[in-house]
Order: sequence, then C-alpha cells, then structure tokens
Amino acid sequence: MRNFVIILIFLFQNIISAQENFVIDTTDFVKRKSFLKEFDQSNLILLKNLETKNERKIFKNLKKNLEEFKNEFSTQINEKNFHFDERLLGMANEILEEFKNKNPEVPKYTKILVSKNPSVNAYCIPDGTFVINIGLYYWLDNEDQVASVIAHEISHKILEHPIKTQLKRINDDLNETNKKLVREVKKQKYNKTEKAFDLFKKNLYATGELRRKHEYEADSLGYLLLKRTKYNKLEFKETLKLMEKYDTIQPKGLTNSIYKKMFDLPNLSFKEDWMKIEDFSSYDYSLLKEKINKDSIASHPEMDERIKKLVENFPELNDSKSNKPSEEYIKIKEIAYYNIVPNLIFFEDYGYAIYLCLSRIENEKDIELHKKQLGEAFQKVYQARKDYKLNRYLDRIDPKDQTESYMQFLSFMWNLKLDEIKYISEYYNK
Amino acid sequence: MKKTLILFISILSLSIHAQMKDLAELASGEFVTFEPVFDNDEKLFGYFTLFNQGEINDKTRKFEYVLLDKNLNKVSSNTFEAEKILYRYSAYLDINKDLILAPYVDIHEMSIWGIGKFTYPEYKKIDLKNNKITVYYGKCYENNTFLNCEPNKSWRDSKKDIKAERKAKGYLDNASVSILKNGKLIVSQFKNYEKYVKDNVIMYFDENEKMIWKYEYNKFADKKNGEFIRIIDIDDNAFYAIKITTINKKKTYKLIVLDINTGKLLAENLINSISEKTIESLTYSNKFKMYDDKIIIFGRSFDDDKLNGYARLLIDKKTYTVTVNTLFYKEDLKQYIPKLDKNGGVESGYNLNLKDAFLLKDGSVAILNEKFKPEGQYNKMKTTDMVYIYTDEDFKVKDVKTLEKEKSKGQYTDYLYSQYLNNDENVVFFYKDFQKDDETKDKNWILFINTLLKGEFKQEQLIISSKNDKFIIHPYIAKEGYILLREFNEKEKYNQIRLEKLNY
Repeated sequence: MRNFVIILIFLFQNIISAQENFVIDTTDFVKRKSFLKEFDQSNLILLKNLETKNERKIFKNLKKNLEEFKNEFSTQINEKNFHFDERLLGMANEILEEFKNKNPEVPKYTKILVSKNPSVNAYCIPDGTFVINIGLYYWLDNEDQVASVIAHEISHKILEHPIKTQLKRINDDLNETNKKLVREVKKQKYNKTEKAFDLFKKNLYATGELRRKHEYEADSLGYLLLKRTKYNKLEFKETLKLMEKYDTIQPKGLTNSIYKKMFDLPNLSFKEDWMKIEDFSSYDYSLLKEKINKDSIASHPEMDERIKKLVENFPELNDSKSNKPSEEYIKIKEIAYYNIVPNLIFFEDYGYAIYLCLSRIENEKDIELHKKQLGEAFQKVYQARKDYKLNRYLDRIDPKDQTESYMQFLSFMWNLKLDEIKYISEYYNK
Repeated sequence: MKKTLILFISILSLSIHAQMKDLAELASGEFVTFEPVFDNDEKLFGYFTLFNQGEINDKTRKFEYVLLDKNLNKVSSNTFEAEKILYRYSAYLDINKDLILAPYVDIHEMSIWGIGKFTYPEYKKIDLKNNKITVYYGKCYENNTFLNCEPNKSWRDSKKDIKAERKAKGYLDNASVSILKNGKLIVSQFKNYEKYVKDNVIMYFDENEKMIWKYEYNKFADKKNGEFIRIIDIDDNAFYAIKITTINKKKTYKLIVLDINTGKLLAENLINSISEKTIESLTYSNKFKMYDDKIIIFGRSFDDDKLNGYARLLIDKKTYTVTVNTLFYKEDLKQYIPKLDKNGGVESGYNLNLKDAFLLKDGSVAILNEKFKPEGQYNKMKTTDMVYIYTDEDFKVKDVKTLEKEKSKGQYTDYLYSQYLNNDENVVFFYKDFQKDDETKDKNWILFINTLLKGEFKQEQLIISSKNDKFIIHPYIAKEGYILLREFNEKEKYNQIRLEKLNY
C-alpha cells in the first residue's frame, strides 16, 4: 500500500512538473510594451519610405489604410493575442536570424511574433513583422518546416506584396477609367444590379489573381532563400503538403462511446436523447451555386497547384528527405500541444476546445489535464448559454460543411439542458 | 478554427475601397424581405430572403431569392423575373414541398396601369428538387373535373365573364379546392346568386382525384335564410365542422361530424347554453388547435353585445360532445386582478387587450393580455403590464401573473411572438420592454422570455440593447426551442446572427 502511495505521489508530481514546463509565461506586459514601441517605429519608417516613393494622393490613402491596420494590430497585441514566451519566440528568431545571415536580401529590421492562433498558418504585415501561429509548431514536424513557412513570409516582404496589394486597391479606386465605369453603372436605368455585379466580380477576381500570383512568387523565392540556409530545403514541399492537410483543425472523429464515457456522471446519468441529431434530410444543398467562385477570389491558390509549380521550377524537389526534429523542437512542439486547448479557450472557441479535449481523452493523452480543461470550457459554455450567447462560441449544425463526427458533437452540445451543462462543468472543475 | 485567422486577414481588407463598396451595395440589390417558411406541420422549415435586383426593362424587374434552412445555412438561391408592379413575394411550402411565392402588388404602380386593365400577377413555384422557377396556377375544380386554374384575367375581362355567366345561368358556379396534408382533396362548391349562395356541396376526393363522398347543405337558401359551414378539422377518422343555420334571423349552431371514409353523418350536436355572440366569436375564431383526441377553439365571451370574458369550445373526438366553458372578468378573474371591471377595463382607462392564447394539449389554455389605453383626442395610445392568465384542463383559472412593464407610448404593443414546445404541451412567449437600469440609470431594451411548463411559469430577462456596450439585438422567430438573435455590435466579431437555445 505504501509503495502504491509513493508511486501515485511520484506519478502525480511528474504530471504536475511535466505540465509546468509547458506553462507559458503570461507576465508579458514589458515585452508587449517594448514590441509596440518598436512596432510604432517600424511603421513610421515604412511610411517615410512610402512617402518618397508614391504620389501624394496615393500616399495619403496608403497612410490611412496602414494606420488603421496598425491600430487594429496594436489592439490585438494589447488583447494578448500573442505569445512572448522566450522558448517559442527563441526558435522563431533563431530561424529568422539564419535567413538574415545567409540572405542579404532579407531586411535587417524585420522581426517575428508568435500568435496564439492554433491553426497552421503565418503571415507578413507591411512593416516587416512576420507572424507565425503557435499552430505551426504543433502541426509541423520539425524546424526545417517552420523555416520553410518563414522563408515564404520573408519573400512576401522582400517582394513588397502587402504594399503592392494595397497599392492595387488604391490605384483601382483612384483610376479615372474605373470611376467612369462605376458612374456609368450607377446611371443605368435597367439591369443596374447585374452590371454592378459583373464589374464587382471582375474586380474581385483580379485581386484574387494578383494575390495568387504573389503566393507563387513567394514560394519560389522562399525556396531559394531556404536553400542558402542550414535547413533542409526538401522540407519545403513537405510543409505545403502538411499545411493543406491541417488547413483547419480536424482532430480525428470522435466515437460515440466517448460521450457515455465522459458524461455518465454520479448524479447525472447519460441520456440517449443527448445524442439525437436533428433531421436535415429535407434540404438538398447540392443545388446551391454560389454567385462568386470561391477559388477565383481565394488569396491562396490550391496547394496542389503550388506544389506542382514549385516542382516544375525546382525539379530537385521531386526527391523528399525528411529530417527528424531536434530535441529543442520536440520540446517546443510539446509546449504548443499543451497550449492549443487554452488558446482555443482564449479565442472563445469553446466548442473546438471541448471537441479537442474529448479527442485527446479518447486517445488517452493527459486525461486528467484534459478533464480539467473540459471543465473550464464547460464553465464558459454554461455562462454563454445562460446569457443566450452560446452560438458565438459553438457552431450550429451545417450539414454541407461538417463531418458526421462534428455534427454529432454539436448535436450533443446543443441537446444538453442548462442545468446539465452546469453539473458537467462543476463535476470536471472539482 | 479559421475564424481568428480570417479576423487578421480581414483587417487589411477593411480598407476595401469606396468604389468596390458602392459596387457591392449595388450588386447585392435592395433587400425586400426575410421571413420564416413553415412546413405542413407548422414547423419552421427555413427562411426566405428576397432582394430586388432592379428593373430590366419598362415592364419587368428581377428578384433574387435565397432560401436558408432552419439553421440559417444556405439551401438554394436563384434569380427570376416578375412584373414591375410587384414589390414583394411571400413564401410558403405547399403539400409537395415546393416553395410557393405569393405576389404583393404596389398599389401606386397598379393605379398607373388603370384598374380596368390591371391583371393580378400570378404566383410562382420554386421546385426545390431542381431549383426551377415556374408560374404556379393552383388547382381548380370545374364541371366535375380538376384542372390547373386559368391565368388571371384583367379586372375588366373578369367582370365581363361574370356578367355573361350570370346572364346565361342566373348564378355563378363557385368552387374552391383545398389540398390536405395527406394529398387528399376537399372541394367546396356552391351557386353564387350575388346576394346569397345556395346548393352548397362539400366533396372529399382521394389522392387520385376520385370522389369518396359529398355532403350537401343550404338547399333552401334565399336572401334571408341559409346555411354556412366552417370546416374545423379533417383527420384520419372524421370531418369536423360547425354548421350555422339562419332561419328568420334566428341562428343555430351545430357541430357536424362526418365519417371520413364514407361521409356518413356521425354526429350533429347543437351548441347552445351560451350567448349567440359568444358562439359566433368561437365559430369564426382564428385561435384553434387540433389534437388527436380533441379540438380546442378559443374565443371571447359576450353578455349581449358587451365583452365579459373568454370562452373555450372543446370537442371530444371520441364522443363528439361539445363543451363550452367561459371565464368571466368579474366572477373568475377579479380576485387576481383587483381593478378589473366586468367588461375587461382596468385602472386609469386601460383595458385588457388580448394578445394571444395558447391552447395546450391537455385542454388548458394560457391567455396573454396587455394593458392597453387607446389613442384619445389629446393622448397617444399606451400600453403597460402584460397579464398572463392560465387555466387548468377544465378552463378554470389556475393562476394569473401580472408582469410589470414600463409604460410605452404611441406603440400598439410590446408583445413579440410565441412558440409551442414539447409537442404542444408547453409554450414560450416573448415581449420587450424599455427599462431603466437601477444602477446606471441607462434605458435599455429588455427581452422577456416566458415559459409555461407543466403549469409552472418561468421568466428570463435578456438585455437586447445597450448604449454603453454599443449593441442592439433583434429577436426573431426560430425553430422549436430556439430564438434567433440578430446582433448589431460595435465589436465586429459579435456582429452576427445567432441561433440560441431557449433555457427551459
């Protein structure tokens, strides 16, 4: 018995200390303040630079747009949407430094941020800040792949894509021919809507095309930048494949048994009624045709096309050689793993947070931790449901876009009564 | 998951330039309507949204419709052309689950055409199996045959036809066709002698349009005497109607029950023992509910011509007996509402204005009133408290709740709508009130969500407008057990349409 207790205590301590390692430092006021100061500076430099290169009228518009964006982005920083943890930032900065050292084209003033967003993505903003989502660390396999993504974003900056996109919009807006076209449409007595729509669509498609062109360019240049670094260049293609695979967070489908396992509680027996899925069979969604082709306005081309084009330009990418992650990457990946659920809760995606907890519990990963997080998310769901705000944080069923497993999950969540949600939250928050 | 990402990307897109914004507004057309569509069981099927896409020539305009499912997901969308005089369509689902669009005409445009030349536009049908839109003529019954109704004629041409038919026969042959949920048909046919109708026949047909039975009445009609039938319910076993017979100005009311399979008269029970005006109120009431074992009709009770309470008519489907119960203001309700007088008046010139009545499966009734003061020469109309009366299954008062509400001026009502829950055993109703917050002293709209579950009343309150937090929420009809909340919020991420589950 004593042995058992010792083992239990030992295990328990292990769990705590293991998790403590993955807790992210959130006392980041100073770091945030310092970043914002730097951000102000880089935006000032950017504006000065743009002023010299652009006509006054165009610059005025550009300035307005960039300042609006800067304010919005600063709000995101103040709202703590980013991680300032040294470990997460450290690896990102190390990668960026490697690019700067090996590629003179990379502007020296560029910097990097890690967003709390759990999806596998990154972006570049006009002043030279690159944002990588924590989701990159979680979903990608090694630092070579993270470097591939950063290479792509650096290329956007080198090629000035964010500014070019803005300039296109401003030029389109100020262009006399365009103005005349819009005026003519407005003057039309008949078919005004149709003509306006055609023109609108043409504009959207043109912007979409430009942005897709930018993506191809950033892929090509990004690969060339990567080639000069220490990172495995062959991972570039692999990265694109993974990004497509994990385009949206899709934990493996839950089996129905997990609901009974987790929600058959001492004073709340599991009810089969909770699993009922509403009938949507009387709707035929297949006839729906969107007026605007999503692919034509997409900012990114289909991943298959990107990979195809990349391999055409760089036949050596036909080979593939995957590196094993470094010890450091494995640790960072784990930090990301432990922070996905808290970040989902942070972004008020309580539905996804619960879904992910259930998925991890089903796969027997950190069961106690995820039960606690489940309780936390249920507490939020309880408050939201009480305030008639749950649909802000939990999707409603959309049969044409959701998997069966996710629809089952949503049905379960919406079928629960308020007092049942309360009980579940209290039970797992104990 | 993509939500947050989109948020970031959209920051840059916020700077969408002015011309594109103008074009986007023009391209989406002018919003016309967003309305619920119910299926044949009165359950919410989805929402119909219509946009006016403008004129395409001097006689025609284009509309775009979007059909959403009960969860607000897009199901189908298409454009169609219609006469310019049309300003909107209202949609309903017919027995074949096609979406039928009923036209509404712009009276101003109609007067430009001239009343004589004016032809009422046709209905349209959207076949939801293939999204095709066609003109919908409905089903007509003429010369013992079912056929598609003829296209509408101009008012002048219709008048000519009517005149010619009257001249030839001395009357018009009128018939109306109703298609029942099970695909069977009811035809009500009569001779129209302008000042009265005669020789009425109700005919029942199967799905293959083969007549199963007919019921004839009103054979003796003249200008002063006659019979009229109000159909109440048709179920798998019987046909129920109230027959009103007028002979020398005296009216008698009878429940008529016919065997649905043979047309054989199963019962003909006199409805009496209450004032004629009360029976009349019940007969023509639009508050009725049909259940497997009973039919409930709710109406007003009158003493001579003066309102003195409420009445419930109950038809037992097993015995075909008719029971009429009344609830009088003075005798039954005064103890709960001390200032109530015998004709429904309350304090300071207000009266109990009936807003809704809920006829529940067990026969109990919940009656919702609002204290209302009509507009006077020097004052606007006003409303105050909601008064909620609910009865037991014998129509005896169980309790009365006076739900205090601020005085609203110039507004007919603060009542919104209601919904039956749990197979018509329970009900939820909604109203709003503009109230001052005790702490902040700000006035905000509050939504009151009221449920009556197994006779237990429960109320929840939801703030639906706030000057400080800069949001306003419009509540709207949703599927059973839910409420639709359209929120306009300064915070972009909360600026959304939500479907929220009711907490009952």
